[in-house]
Amino acid sequence: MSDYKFTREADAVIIGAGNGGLASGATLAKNGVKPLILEKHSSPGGFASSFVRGRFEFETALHELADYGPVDNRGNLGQFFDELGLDVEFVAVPDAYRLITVRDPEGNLDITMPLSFEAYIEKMEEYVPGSKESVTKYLSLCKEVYEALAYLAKNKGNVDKEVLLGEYGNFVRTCAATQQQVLKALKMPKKAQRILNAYWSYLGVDEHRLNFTIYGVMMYVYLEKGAYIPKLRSHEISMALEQKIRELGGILELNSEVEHILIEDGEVIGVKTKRGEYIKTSQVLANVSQHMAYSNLLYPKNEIPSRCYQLTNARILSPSAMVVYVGLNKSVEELGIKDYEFFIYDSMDTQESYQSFSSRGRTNVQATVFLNCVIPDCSPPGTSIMSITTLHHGSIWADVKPEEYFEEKERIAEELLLEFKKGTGIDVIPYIEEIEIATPATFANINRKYNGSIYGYECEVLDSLIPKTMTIQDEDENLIKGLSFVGGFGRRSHGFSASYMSGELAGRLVAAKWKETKK
Amino acid sequence: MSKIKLIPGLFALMRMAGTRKKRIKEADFKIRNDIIGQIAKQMHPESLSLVVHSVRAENESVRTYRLISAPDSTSLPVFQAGQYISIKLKIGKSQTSRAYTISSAPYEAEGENGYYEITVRKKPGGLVSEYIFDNWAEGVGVNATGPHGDFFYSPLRDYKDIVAIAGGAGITPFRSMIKQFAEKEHEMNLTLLYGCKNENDVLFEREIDEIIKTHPSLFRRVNVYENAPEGRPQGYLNAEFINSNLEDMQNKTFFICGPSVMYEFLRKEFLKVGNLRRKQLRYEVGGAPDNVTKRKDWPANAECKTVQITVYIQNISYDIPASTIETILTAIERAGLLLDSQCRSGECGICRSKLNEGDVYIITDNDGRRAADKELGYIHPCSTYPLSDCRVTIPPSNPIKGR
Ligand SMILES: Cc1cc2nc3c(=O)[nH]c(=O)nc-3n(C[C@H](O)[C@H](O)[C@H](O)COP(=O)(O)OP(=O)(O)OC[C@H]3O[C@@H](n4cnc5c(N)ncnc54)[C@H](O)[C@@H]3O)c2cc1C
Ligand code: FES
Repeated sequence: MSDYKFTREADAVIIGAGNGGLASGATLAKNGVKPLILEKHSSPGGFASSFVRGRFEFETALHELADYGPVDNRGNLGQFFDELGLDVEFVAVPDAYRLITVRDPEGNLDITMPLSFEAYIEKMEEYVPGSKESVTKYLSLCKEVYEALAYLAKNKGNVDKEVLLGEYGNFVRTCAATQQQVLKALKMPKKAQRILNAYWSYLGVDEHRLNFTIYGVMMYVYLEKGAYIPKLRSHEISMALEQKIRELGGILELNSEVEHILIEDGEVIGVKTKRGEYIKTSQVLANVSQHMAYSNLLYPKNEIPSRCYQLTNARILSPSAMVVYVGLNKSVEELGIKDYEFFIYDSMDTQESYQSFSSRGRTNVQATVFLNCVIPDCSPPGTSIMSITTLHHGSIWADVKPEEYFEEKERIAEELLLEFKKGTGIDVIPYIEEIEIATPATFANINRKYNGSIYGYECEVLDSLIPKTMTIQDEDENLIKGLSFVGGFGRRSHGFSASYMSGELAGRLVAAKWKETKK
Repeated sequence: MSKIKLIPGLFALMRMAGTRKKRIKEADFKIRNDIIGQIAKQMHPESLSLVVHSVRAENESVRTYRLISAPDSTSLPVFQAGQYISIKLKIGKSQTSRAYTISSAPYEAEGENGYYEITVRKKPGGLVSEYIFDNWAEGVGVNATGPHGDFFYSPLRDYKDIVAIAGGAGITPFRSMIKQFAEKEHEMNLTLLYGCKNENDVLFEREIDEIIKTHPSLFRRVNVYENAPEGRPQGYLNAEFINSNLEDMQNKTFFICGPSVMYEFLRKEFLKVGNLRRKQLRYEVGGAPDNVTKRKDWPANAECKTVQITVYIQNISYDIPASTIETILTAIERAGLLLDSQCRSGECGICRSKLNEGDVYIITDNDGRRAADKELGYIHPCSTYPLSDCRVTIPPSNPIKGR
């Protein structure tokens, strides 16, 4: 046994108070396991945060929460928050999205889609006559997939094959398929496919590699449960979770970076903080990427099974992003903005767009939100808040010289604002009162994101739920005893809702194990 | 729903576990480089190890310190003209910090021989400025944060016509801007309106005039003195002065840096300058005011007295004395407890703490607190004054490295 001088002991240590960390912390605490959450930053939440510039408070990351749902039709996330008794005011987003293409060889689109099953199908039929049958089929398929996953979750993996194949046969048949394969099989008209794929940038993988299960579930929950945002930016959710964890006896320590996860004989035995404190624990829930854990955190290195590196290198890291946060001295009414969420793409050739993430050429993807369209009083009267997100791999910043860094980010920001103008005819540049530009380096700095990647591993077929479950013995959580991953790199896919739910899942599993060992 | 006919379908599913296993088996064992993480570390280091390279007296009470990277540390991070670094010090039992604008230009920080300069005015009775004057000499090690702050020119936001309004030592960010613009940027022009007490108060006059001479179309400078020397304009930095020196007010961005009394005065004067929009007026933060009781919204019934603050750090509590006219951060530092700080003006949120109980006065000029934080009783102790006994929970902080 190594002779670390442990000064404290914790039931479980959670590294990072991001969505996954906070959700797992609350779940553990609720189940009688007292977690110690160590967060390097001076504020909890990770990406679920906000910051103030002048008279504006900007949302850091969230566009819309999936799987929350109205009171009478809660989604999984809504139920989870309800059970915890979180005190957060959520506001419903009215429409799904406005999709605009600006250099589309198949003809530019400018389409606003509503947020409900029937309305979505109707609207699509209006835009694409003859699409009704295939779109209806697609959405019922999404529903079946959602229900199949609920069945799997309920039965905790002890699945009756007959039931699965009988009742959820389509789920089984499509879980190895890409989004593109499913749309093709349904013979959906091309234009309807283009409109339906609008959310793809939320996942960051093109339709030819994107797993249908993941896109389908996302589609289903947005249309069936609606989309929500918290009244006071996502910092409000983080703070509510923090409060809850404290109430339930958990501890959250800010400004406390973990330097090492200590392992011995294939098991977690504790952590060491940057301040030099050794804390004993048998359970670590890491709200970081496997890349980060294996290359920086686990200690000593010779204890790490080589398979960990292989497993990590077999996966593809999602792209990073640039976000332009803008405070405008005109209201959305004065600007003529009616929509909350704009997807502005060159075209709906998602493969081509995806390829462009690796080069420093013109950006051709943006997801832009106007917070005031959902929360009118989120900024003072006569002003509004806009944020533009574009995707690209962090690596394209590698050859930008430090002294060119500021210029380069201003250049891209201007390009994005001009693309917005090209798509909507609205020029916001003269009204900019505050502007802040975040790059992959910003996310690497503030959130310690590996290569700035903002999501997790890509939701390609081979790295989706079912294949991972089928090879579970060889997956991360079984390689080092006592180590699990939560958040965007957890067992669910990435995004706000999935990262909360990954924390909930890991929290439940660890609590169950804990209870067993206590007996 | 009817059976969906899919080519890969069930067959693909059966193969999937095998394919996944194969892909993992074929993957390599190498640790991938975190290239962006390394760039981020270089751009935003947690702390900077610097050394005083040289000291230059600007006048009796102002000195410029040239700081270079300590041996064995990396090159200096890039910054934007107008940003500051926060100097970390241990004085007696107190660990504290002060913000100082980098008065040299960004291009001067580049490369192996790069440097930052900070220009410090000695404040009578000032804890840190006096300490610096007494202790910093060539070769002395200095601990600081990387560059921070939002007081810089932004091409998308600001007009190309820049008006720099400086009061006294408030010239520091504009020295950096003028040098940088002259060297690298020729898009915008800058008019410096400089308010000084007397001739001796004027900083960097010769240096700035040289630059103006070589770039007459880019820069202009007008000084105004409270006690003017012969032949120089006597008066104040007020609406009349601004109006008489500038035209076309609607297409300008004003950057303003000076003592807080100057801000209070100018905010009123600008109302007479014309209908300026808020985006045109950018005030630099300036730390805690010298005398908080002189502020307009200081509660009339507030007494100047000693109160007690119970400070919780990681569930250990400390009872410390505090003065109602000093910030909670100052009380904490005086008591020898650790609380990290950076802007000391309420803006950056680094000192963010929770007020569990007690009456306080908060300076809201640069209130960087978020809506949810305000609802839950969070404060920024650097801009908060205890009016009664208080209970405050502060986050753990890291002791400064080295000395
Ligand atoms: C963004 C920014 C940029 C700035 N740039 C510059 C610049 O370029 N040049 C410049 O000269 N100044 C600059 N300043 C101001 C500078 O940061 C200092 O405020 C100034 O030098 C005065 O510091 P001081 O410690 O000497 O005085 P004070 O801060 O006034 O020192 C006295 C303070 O110390 C407290 N104190 C006394 N004893 C103790 C103790 N034992 N422990 C803890 N606290 C104690 C007192 O209560 C009092 O609040 C800038 C400020 C900001 C915010
Ligand atoms: S130190 Fe910046 S808000 Fe207190």
